Amino acid sequence: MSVLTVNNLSYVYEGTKKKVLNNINISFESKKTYAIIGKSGSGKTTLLALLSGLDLCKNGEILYNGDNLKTIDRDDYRSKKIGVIFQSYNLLTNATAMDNIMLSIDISGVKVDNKKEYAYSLLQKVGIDKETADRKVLKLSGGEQQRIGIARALSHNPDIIIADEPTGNLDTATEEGIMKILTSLSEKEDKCVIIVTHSEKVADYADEVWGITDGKLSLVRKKN
Amino acid sequence: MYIFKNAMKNIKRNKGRNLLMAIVMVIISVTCVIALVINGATTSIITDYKNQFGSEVNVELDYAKIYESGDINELPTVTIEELKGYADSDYVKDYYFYLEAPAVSNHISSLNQEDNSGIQGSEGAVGGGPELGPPNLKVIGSTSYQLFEEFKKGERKIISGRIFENDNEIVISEDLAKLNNLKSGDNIVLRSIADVEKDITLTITGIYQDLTKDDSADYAYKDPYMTRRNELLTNYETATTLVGEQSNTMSRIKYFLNSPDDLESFVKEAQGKGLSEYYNFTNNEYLYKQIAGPVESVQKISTVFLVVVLILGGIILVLLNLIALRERKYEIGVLRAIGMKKINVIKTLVYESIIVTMVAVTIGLGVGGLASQPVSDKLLADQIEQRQEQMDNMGGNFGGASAALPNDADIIDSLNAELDLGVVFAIFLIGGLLVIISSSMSLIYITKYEPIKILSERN
Ligand SMILES: Nc1ncnc2c1ncn2[C@@H]1O[C@H](COP(=O)(O)OP(=O)(O)O)[C@@H](O)[C@H]1O
Ligand SMILES: [Mg+2]
Repeated sequence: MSVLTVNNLSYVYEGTKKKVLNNINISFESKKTYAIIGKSGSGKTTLLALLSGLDLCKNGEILYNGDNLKTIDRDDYRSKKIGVIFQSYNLLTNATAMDNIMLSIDISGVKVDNKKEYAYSLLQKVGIDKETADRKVLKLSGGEQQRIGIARALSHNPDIIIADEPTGNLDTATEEGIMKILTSLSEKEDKCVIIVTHSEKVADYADEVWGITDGKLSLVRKKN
Repeated sequence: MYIFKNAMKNIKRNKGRNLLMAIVMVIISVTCVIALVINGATTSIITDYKNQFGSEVNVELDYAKIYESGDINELPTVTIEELKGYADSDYVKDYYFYLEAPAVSNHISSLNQEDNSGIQGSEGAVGGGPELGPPNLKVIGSTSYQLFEEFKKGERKIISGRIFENDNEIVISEDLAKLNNLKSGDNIVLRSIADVEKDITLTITGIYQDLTKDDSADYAYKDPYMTRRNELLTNYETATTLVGEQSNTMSRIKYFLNSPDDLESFVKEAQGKGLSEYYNFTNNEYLYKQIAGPVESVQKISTVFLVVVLILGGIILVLLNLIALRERKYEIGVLRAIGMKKINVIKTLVYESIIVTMVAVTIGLGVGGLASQPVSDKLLADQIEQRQEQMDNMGGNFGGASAALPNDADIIDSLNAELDLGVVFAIFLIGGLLVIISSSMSLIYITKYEPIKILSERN
């Protein structure tokens, strides 16, 4: 079943003429991992902003379980239904990794038995040990910050995970680990995982690979 | 609840910034507490004194106006009956007449009198009458209020006998009594200045002690007439017999108004009843300035301080927030991007601001409350000292013209600078203002913020 449907979506940044996205149609389903691949500047992040409800489209529509993103509470949508892994992490840098995770859980309102333990285990899952978890984000490496961003996106157990270049700052070994986590989310936990990337290698993990060129989105290949 | 917790954590996370803000706020609130406490104390004391001095009104010829107009041949007069008529007013609470009559005595030596011989009447001088020296005594007659006023204030007290009750009864000072070996029951004979032929016999009913400082000896020129202890106190009628027909022009009236603010209306009313425009109703502003001047200065200083600190402190807070705004913007962006509702982001910021402000204001209240008294004492002492220096300089120029100057004891030299509920209330109001100042910019930013910005602003 389709959790997220994009119909005839076009997008032009205000004050510019270029159609960054041009009549895009795609349907995302649960239990699947999608890769959207394109060169730098092709509009991947723009699409992610629209899918995550950070921005609204003027032409076309995006439906979450049949409801138009324009009409639903997008704060709720962002805090409960989807988890976004930002290209530039967007963590509270003065806070510890733990605080970032805990705050995300609090904002979503998700009930967890032992919040602290749960947060530590989430961080452990992406390779952040307790000691690192209690340090200020500011003092962590880009790779560590990216992993915390991933843990935060998973913290409220959302239906959809949207990741913008999630392995951009990771070495190959860690990249593999992260990609395994993301794909297992779709396989074992019935999530819909959407990964935006410029890397063919990352795209290889996906069930469906879509390419974006000149604002047009088209299916590249599909796993069976 | 998590919002409050997050606000608390956020304060800890941004220790440096919040500590700086708190310090500025503590300074603002300490200063405000001290300024407000001093302001309150001075305002009440000033109001008291203003009422006391401002509502005492004298009638005086306006010489400046007379001089200006130039063509006045005869000075306008005002009769006792007319003055009484003006007193019949809603603005007037009370009034009394008094008369200062210069007198000479051949039998009594007065204080500060250099040699008695000049006063002895010697026949054959100008006009054939007995020659009189300068008056060596002053008889003050009053419809009693003023004299009792001095007794009430504790400046004079009867130490033997009683106050005068009937005509031709007087009380004299202890010093004068000693000098002339006089006691209650003795008679003295005075010669009127107005009617030199006439001697008047007065009976001493009591001796008063004058408790004000006798500084007459400090001046090179000693005038017995200006010496307080040479004053003979009696009733108004007795004093009028000493000046005869002149009593109409020499009498003074003192009105007591219900409020010092009524002065102008009172003057208008009297002018409506026929008071010449060459007369002025004046209150004792000069004396008031002398007595309450230091306190007024302290009040001014504290008010200026309050305003300056509020403005400067406000500007510093705005600047601190401006510096922190970059960080803040990013933080707001993150919170909004992960789905925190606008209202909750606002709450977070406001809670932070309230917590920091409350802590700062509470410390400010404590420190300010403790510091108010010593600061106010110091300010007042400085002001009094400054005035004293000015006065000393003036004293050098004018010699003995110190009649209108109050005694040291009269100058207000202490303030009760206590923290009261009004100040606490005002401080928390100021605290509220600080909360608004310190969170306003972020709040404005939030209302305009679009979550999409998080993607462009960081990169
Ligand atoms: N805020 C913006 N205003 C105007 N143009 C923008 C803005 N953000 C991105 N663009 C432009 O839109 C295009 C797509 O950008 P983006 O979606 O960030 O690409 P990608 O993520 O694929 O590298 C680029 O040409 C970029 O310059
Ligand atoms: Mg991008």
